[in-house]
Amino acid sequence: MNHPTDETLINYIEGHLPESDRAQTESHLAGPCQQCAARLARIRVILESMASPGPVLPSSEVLGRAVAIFRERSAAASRSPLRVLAELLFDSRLQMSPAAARGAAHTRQLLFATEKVDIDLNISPEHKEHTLLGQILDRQQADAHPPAFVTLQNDSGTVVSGMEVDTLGQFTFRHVPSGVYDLVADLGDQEVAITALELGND
Amino acid sequence: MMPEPFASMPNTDLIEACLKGNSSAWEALLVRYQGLIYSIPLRYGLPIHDADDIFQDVSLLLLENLERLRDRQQLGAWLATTTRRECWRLLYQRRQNAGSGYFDDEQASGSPHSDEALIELERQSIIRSAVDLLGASCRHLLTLLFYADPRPSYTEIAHTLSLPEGSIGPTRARCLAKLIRILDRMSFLE
Repeated sequence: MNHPTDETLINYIEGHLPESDRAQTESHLAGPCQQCAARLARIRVILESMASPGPVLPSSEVLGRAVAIFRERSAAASRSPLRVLAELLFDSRLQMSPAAARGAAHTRQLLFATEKVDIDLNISPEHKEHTLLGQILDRQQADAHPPAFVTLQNDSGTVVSGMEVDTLGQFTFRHVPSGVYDLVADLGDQEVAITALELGND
Repeated sequence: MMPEPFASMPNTDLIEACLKGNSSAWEALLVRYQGLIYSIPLRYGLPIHDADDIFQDVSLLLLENLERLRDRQQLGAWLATTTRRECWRLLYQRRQNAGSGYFDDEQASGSPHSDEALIELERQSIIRSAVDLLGASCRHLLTLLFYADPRPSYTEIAHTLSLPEGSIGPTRARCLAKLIRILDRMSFLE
């Protein structure tokens, strides 16, 4: 089977093929040739990305300084804020009977606290994924919500997502697969960590 | 221009080489993601000197965390989130220093990046780095066609590169095909 070249696929996507070649390419793709269909889809993504305004690049001087830190890394150190582990104060799942806990999917509520903040979490299962709703409240100022950047990491250390909280201290992570996660709230002067947060198959 | 082979290695191999102390691999990694890291603070509305500082900070964080970036195919997502957090921290510290208290509605709600936008920014950054690996003639052509501001016409490009205007289209397709092969070696979109 003669598969079209990348150049042919590019011209096909952009409408630059002569009619006979276009028909031949379409016939091949309709074969179906899954290999070429996947290739076509991939090339289309690349062309669409290139059609958008490109990213802004740093100056060569800035890039050079960043490259140089590799050799100088013994002298360099990033600012690492203090990390505080949040204490679990309430878990709705612990209030249920084992039978109820194994039943139909329930929203699970958890409350964590440190000296500085409370973190309220609601975990809702949705099919095989979860929605994690949270809110950060200031323990020292009533009705205050400190600004924070919240990161969700899975148990292999991969950052799943991150976001700034809104003015009410709220954040939402959607479509989170079942698993064990760390939730870290960066408050600027310290980090609050909720570790080994289990989003199970309820 | 980055020397091969590092410049077109997949991320997993690049990170492995960095962890073995190869500074060329480190440079290739930064070149690949420089567009992603640098564009984010600018989209937050931060000035260039802040973007320069954040680029340095994120590069240092990347270096410090290479060992534990176990899911190395998600490097782009980690870099995007880390850069956003550094932007947020900078804005937070400025407000604290100014005694402005918590963010107001406009600042708190203004995260300028959806996940889709950040994925697209990562793609653009990697593609841009791959363009720099092309031979000189293709590199010049694709840079003029896709990255010059303002975008020159085919007539202007033909004059600049001393090419017949009618050859620009076919040459463009050939150069794009070469670019795609470089992206293949990077395991881009796999």
